[in-house]
Amino acid sequence: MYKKQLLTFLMAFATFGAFAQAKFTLSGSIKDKSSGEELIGASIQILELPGVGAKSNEYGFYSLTLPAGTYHIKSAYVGYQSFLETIILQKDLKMDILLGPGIEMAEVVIQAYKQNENVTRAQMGVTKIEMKDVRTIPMLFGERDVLKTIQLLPGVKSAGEGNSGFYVRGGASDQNLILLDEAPVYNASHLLGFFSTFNGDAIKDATLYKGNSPAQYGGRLASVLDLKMNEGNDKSYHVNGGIGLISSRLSVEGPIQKEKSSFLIAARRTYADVFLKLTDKFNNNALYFYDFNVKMNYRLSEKDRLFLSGYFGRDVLGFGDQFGIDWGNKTGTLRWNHLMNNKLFSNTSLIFSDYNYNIDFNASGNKFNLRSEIKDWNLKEEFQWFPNTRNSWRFGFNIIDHTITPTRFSSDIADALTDQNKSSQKALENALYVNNAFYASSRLNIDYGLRVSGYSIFGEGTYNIYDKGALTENVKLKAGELGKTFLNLEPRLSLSYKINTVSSLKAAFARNTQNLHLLSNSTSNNPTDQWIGNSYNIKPEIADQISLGYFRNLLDNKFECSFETYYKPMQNQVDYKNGADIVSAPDVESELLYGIGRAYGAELYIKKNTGRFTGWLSYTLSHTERKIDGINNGNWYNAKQNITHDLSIVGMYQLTPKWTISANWVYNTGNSVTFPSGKYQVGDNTFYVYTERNGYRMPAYHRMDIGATYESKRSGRYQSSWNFSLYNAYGHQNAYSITFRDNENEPDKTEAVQTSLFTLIPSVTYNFNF
Amino acid sequence: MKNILFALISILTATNCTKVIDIDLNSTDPQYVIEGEITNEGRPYQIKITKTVNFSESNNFPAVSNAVVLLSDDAGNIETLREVMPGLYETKTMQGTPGRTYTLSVQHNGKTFTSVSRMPYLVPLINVTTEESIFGSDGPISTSNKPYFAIPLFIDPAGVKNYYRFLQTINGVPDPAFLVRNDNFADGRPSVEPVISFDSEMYKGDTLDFQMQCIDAGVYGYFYSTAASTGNSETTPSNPVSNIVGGALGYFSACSLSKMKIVVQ
Repeated sequence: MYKKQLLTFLMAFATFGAFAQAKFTLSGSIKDKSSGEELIGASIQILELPGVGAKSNEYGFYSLTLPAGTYHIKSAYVGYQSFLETIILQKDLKMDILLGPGIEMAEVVIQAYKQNENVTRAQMGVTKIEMKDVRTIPMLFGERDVLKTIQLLPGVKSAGEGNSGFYVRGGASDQNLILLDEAPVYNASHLLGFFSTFNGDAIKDATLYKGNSPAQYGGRLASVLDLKMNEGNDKSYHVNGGIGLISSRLSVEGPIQKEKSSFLIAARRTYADVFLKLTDKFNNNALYFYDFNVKMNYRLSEKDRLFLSGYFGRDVLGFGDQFGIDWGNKTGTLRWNHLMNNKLFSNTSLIFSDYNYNIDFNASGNKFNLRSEIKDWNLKEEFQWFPNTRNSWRFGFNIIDHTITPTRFSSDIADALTDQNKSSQKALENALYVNNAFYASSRLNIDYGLRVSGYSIFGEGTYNIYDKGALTENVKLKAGELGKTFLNLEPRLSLSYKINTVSSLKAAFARNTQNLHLLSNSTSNNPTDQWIGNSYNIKPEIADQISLGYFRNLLDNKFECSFETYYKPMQNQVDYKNGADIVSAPDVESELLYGIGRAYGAELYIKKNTGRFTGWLSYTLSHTERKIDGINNGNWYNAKQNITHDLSIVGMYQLTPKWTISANWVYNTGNSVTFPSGKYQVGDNTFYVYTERNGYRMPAYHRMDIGATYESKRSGRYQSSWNFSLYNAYGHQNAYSITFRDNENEPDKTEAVQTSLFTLIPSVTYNFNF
Repeated sequence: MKNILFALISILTATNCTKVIDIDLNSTDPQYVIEGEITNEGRPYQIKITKTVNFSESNNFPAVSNAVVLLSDDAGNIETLREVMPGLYETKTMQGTPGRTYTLSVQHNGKTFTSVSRMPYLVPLINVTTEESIFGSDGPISTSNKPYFAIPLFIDPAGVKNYYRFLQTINGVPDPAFLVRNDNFADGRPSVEPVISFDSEMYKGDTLDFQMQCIDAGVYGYFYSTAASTGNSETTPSNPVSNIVGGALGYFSACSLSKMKIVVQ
């Protein structure tokens, strides 16, 4: 009895003692030693306190509040040598950590600090794309491409052969939020999707959230792809370039004032049209794209930093002087980082984003023009607060001013009746959010948050209200007049329960809403697909995603494995009705139908990150379908991106210090497509009868790509490498489309014709930097 | 537009290849197909009734005989059409008049199909000219021997919705393309836009028979959706939006037309 009381007393005292112990904050930045680039998501761990640690945020900043004491600090980042340091924490300490490049050998890893972050963190359905993988994986035409690399991940499906468009967990391609330095990119493809808008040289970090993103992200149902541009080397000048078969790129970076400010300019252009000039048939045609990435950053003081980044890209297709089409994105971001104190970090961003397309047509001496545009001004304020080692909070708001101009026709014919004076939609999209990553215990991590999103329609404009395609009434708004507001609450929750040091169970729920909708009647990316906001007919799309997962690392964390399942019902999905007039309709809303959707699946991912052999295997089993009143007799039908099996295997092997070889193999069930079930004749033409939407499948798709990279010896500052790749190495003729026609020789027979695009496409790229 | 884009993909890759493949397609119960036109030109007018066949069968479409086919207008005229050939029904007395609304009714084996179409007032075709085009049936080209496209001249009546359909016959061969236009871009002004067909080409010296039909909204919807859902692998195909009620495929059109024959130059 006496002993028990003493024990209680001692325990209370011990707790009191721990309480009384003063706490101090360790903070600073984690950077690349040679270029001064901030590293995003680098880990920092306290060896004495297993499980306690932090990660650098998107500006490289970290903050840890600990009881006073002596600690061993370890900082690590993939592809970099680990950093070890002993600190004596007796007051608040600022420490910038510089990591040197290099591969960390498995033997060097001391048992106590395992790379099991993927197991312990609460977040699931999130993947960080390593830029070194993007550089090594063989690609069509040898173009490094972040968007094509993510298609090799579980739950992500390519929009088509050689296409940079992608579908995540059964979502449509417009349900992906693609952010470049926080600015939404509305059309992330060049040349009908064969290239992405992102220049591999300019991108520093890419993270994909598959529907369970924390509350600071919102606005799309299926995923967030968060891309960050390189800041530029703040120590010395460098030139980086690549010369490929159909495109070349060049980037220049360096300090403006040494270790205080830096810049980066990257440019790219294709010259496929040069080859067209050699042909007799196509020598008058233009066909190219170009893009620029520009970034500057300036350290105003120890606590303040200013970033300016921008993107400008344009595609041009022209046929003589008769027809021309051009389209592209413009984005700009001005950001101000401010360290309020060593626990509170603030970021203020002013963001501009614009996408438009323009079609010019000349005939009989007149000029005709079709165009559409979406333009945003966006103000974002975010605070990151690290009160203690258990919590890291983010809270903030976001106000986006949208101006959406639907497809509009005009001409130079002197007649007022000719032009369509469709008014632009004006809207404000607002969001308020709070999110906490809570380290509840050594076993339980919880990431929870709430996002309140609103969308308000403003005048000037006339909004028609339709009932089953028939106009019932209209609402006239004066300039600046508030028409209608949609408000949604989006709870987010992710948690992980650690079973042991190498395995965990995770669960997540997220509601996402989407106020902007891309209208497309096409099965692939099309520059003329137009964006439209919520209206009196179109309601915000809503998706609720529930995920469960098991995470397990094997062989001393050399292999990261995960198994995730998800179920996602979707509301207020929008589609064109059959035979919709997508170009000339005075109000495109009269051509729309609404319905629901659902997607579910299971994903397996096995990844090897270290050693000479790296790579991954990803497998997805999934189903996704839609039910829209007015399509398929109102019955459930497969979405076109409904594919049952999707398998990717990616391998990279460092053969010698100079040679790296790589290969990937993909296999997937064919897309769901609509094929005829019968035929008939009207006039002299044979027509087909369609009984079921997307009731058939394309043949299974499979392909292997191989690549090799040769790094030449550095001579002085100059270093170069050769990149060889062979796309579709065994030349499988994958079906790009299947069409039907009457047989030429036997006109009373009908046949199916398969078109394939790429078989055996070799390419070579020469890369250099100095 | 998409034909051009699709053509560009093949320019870009220069490696695309096509082959005939076998596909096992489901069969479907035969459906009725009704096709008929009444115009401002001389009678008789014909209604053709057939049925669909399965995809794998040959293109022999069964005629529907012994149907009761009635054509009436809003001026009180009504006529039962007589079957002149299996599945082909013909009028004897009915005269198409612009401004009148026509109702077609077909009864067969207990099924009834109806369609209503109003014959628009004639917008006369004033002239047809031709111009060199950079577009061939395979997409944009720039060879020295360029194809031509036709530019019909007519004056769209202001303040009313007008819909047009163009039919081209080049050297006696009908162009299978579905060429329709509304006046959303051109209400009340002279037309200057060319008619671009991706299904046939004409060159200098060819003879062009050009027909312009003024059609109503329902018929326009049928042909527009036909054009949108055929000959284009980029969209999800669907059955054209028919103006026939009761579940039949095809269309019934009351149209006023004018014609012109020119030599391409």
